[in-house]
Amino acid sequence: MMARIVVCEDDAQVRKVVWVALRSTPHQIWYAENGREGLALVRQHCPDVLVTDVHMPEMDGYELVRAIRADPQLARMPVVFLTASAQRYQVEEAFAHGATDFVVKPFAIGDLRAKLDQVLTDIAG
Amino acid sequence: VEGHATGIRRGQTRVIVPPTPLDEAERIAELHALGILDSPPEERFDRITRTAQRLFDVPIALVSLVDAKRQWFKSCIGLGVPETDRSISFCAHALLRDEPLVIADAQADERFADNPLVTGDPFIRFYAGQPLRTQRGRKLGTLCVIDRRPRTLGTADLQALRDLGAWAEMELNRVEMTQALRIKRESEAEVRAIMESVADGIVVFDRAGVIVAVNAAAERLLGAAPGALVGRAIGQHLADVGIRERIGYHLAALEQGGAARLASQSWDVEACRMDGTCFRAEISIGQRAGPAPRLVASVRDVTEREKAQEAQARLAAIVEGSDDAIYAWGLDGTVTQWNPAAERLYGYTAQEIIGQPLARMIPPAQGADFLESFERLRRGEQVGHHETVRLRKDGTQVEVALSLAAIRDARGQVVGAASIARDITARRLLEAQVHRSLADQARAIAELERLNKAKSDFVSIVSHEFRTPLTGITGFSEVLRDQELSSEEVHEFAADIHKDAQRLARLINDMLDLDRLESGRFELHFESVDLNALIREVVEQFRGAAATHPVRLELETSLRPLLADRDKLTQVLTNLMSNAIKYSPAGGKVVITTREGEQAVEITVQDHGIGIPVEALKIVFERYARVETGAARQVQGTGLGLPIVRQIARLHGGDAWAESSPGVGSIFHVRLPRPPPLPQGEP
Repeated sequence: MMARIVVCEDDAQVRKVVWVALRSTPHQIWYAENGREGLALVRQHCPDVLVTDVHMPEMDGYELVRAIRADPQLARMPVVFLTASAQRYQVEEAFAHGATDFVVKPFAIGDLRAKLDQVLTDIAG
Repeated sequence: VEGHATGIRRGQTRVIVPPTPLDEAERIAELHALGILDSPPEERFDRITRTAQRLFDVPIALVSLVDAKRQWFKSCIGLGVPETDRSISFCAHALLRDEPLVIADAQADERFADNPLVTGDPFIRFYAGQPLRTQRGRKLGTLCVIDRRPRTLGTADLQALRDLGAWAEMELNRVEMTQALRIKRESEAEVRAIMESVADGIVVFDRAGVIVAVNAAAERLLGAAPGALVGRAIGQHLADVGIRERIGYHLAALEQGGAARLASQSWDVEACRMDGTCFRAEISIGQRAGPAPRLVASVRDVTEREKAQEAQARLAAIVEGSDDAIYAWGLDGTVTQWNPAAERLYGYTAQEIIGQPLARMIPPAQGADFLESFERLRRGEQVGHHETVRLRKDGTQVEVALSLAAIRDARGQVVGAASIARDITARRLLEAQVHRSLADQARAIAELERLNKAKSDFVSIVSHEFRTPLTGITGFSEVLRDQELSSEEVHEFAADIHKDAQRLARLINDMLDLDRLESGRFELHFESVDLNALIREVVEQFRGAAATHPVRLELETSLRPLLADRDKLTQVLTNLMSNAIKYSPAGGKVVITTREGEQAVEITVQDHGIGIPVEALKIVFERYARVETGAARQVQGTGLGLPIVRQIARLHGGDAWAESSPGVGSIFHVRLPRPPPLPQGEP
């Protein structure tokens, strides 16, 4: 199944790991370095899924999701957070901000793929 | 003789008007006082005129009383009118004499010839009148006999007329006696009414101490049935032996004709009721002298008054003993009362301040407030508890808690006010102390909270900072392990792993560095450093990494070597450079300057990046400040660069700070002081 994905991550190394993890999938992927760029890409390509870091310069992950949820056309888009923390309150905060699911750094490549497959299956169903 | 005559013309006739006696006013007053004028006829007078008529064989006999304007006949035989005008009265002439007036022939007498009573009915020719006197000698009228023919009277006849006059006088004086008795009865009733009307009990007793009269109030006070007190001994109603004895002495003295010694004295005594119970009474005793002397005691129940006095004494004791200053003042603003606590609070003795204006204790700044309170009290409004400042006698100010209450007279009019004041200096000091401790505590708590949050943030940041390079290490090593890769890719991913491992190592080093710098255990290794040269070296190191950012150096050429820790200074410059590059977009110019300042060297590193919000300027130098600054957060670094810069600057005795315009760029300053030159001649 081919999906359209926007990945938003300010750390170049982490972006590269995501790229390596997903390069063998059929998905079409756009990469952004901060929330502001990410929002522009989402509006431009209207992807199936948004994968985003939380802490980023200029516009962070929470602000990005809030902007997406405020847009009627994008409001239902699944969002997977790449979070550097799995502490309970931060997970709750992520969901409170409109997360569909999350992946904790450092993550196994297989886990990231499985999480995306799950989210994509859910929309398809 | 006495009086005067006036003549008036009546048509062609001339009547001689009878003169007025000199004691006319007194005479008329006595006549009226008799109350006999216009009274019905009485046999006791008629029997005199009847006798006179028979005795003198005349048609007319009268008892005539001469009023101000008329003569009125108390008894009248032979005349059809009850009175005639005084001006034509024969009797008015008779009044002027002590002896009987005899007119033998009125027609032949020029005083009466033209009198209408002579010229007309009853055609008087003969008149004989005996004046009638009161006991005081005032002549009120006459007993007279009248005939229509001329006559003369012999000596025996005149005597008979005098006798009849004396008889009439006796009857008149009987009238006076009746009158006197009536007045006596009236005045007794009056006295009785007065006695009954007074609120005090009145007890009259004789010289044997036996009660002879009382008023209703006395019976009420002594619990006696009406009339029950009369005949009892006064002593039975006085519990006090002393007062009984004194009254006894006085009674004895009265019996021996002694003078009044009790008059206008009063005593507080225990008075006894009929049932033997007693009450507090005030008695005062007067006396009536004379053949049957009496003592008059007025008795007043003072139980309520004494209770009120006692209550007042109790209140006064409370006021005197109060620790609060209590003082009263009149509507004119002068002090009227002053208790010892007021003396202690303000320093004035009661003697000094009573009668003086209260304003002495009001500081000028409180004048308006005081006047307002004063006006409110005057209108009868309440002035509740408030805190203010007052002046002591020595001019110092004292903080007081003050309550004011209006003082009213019996009619409810406000006549003054009472102030209750308490010195609250000690309380104020205590309050200030408590406030200070609370503020200290609040600050300590805030600091603790800040530290706690800093710790929490530290954990969060360390977690985040460690996890980011770990993501690379984990991800790339997983690819190396699991995927078939070209040799170029193997090399590339291995390099990525290495890069992230170095990031991790740098992060750990920075953390440890900062910890040591902050711990105070870190020792600088001072040497002479050429700062400009050091800057060029650092910039050279960045040449490859930051080719996108042009660097301009504006270095002071005459900069003298600086005594500093070369390695730490290198770290300062490296951190500031990497900071400038990270926060400015590609092409953003970085400017580095040095300047010889006042006993210090100043370094600035200016970027043209996103800038720092004003509220974040102060905290970018604090450890792990980044997480709170949101958008201004850098990712590549450790977030410890600027705190390390400041710490190193401070260890050198200097400081580091920043200024910034968001969207324009930031300038970071480092100031490194030069040690003061050693004094000449010092070893």
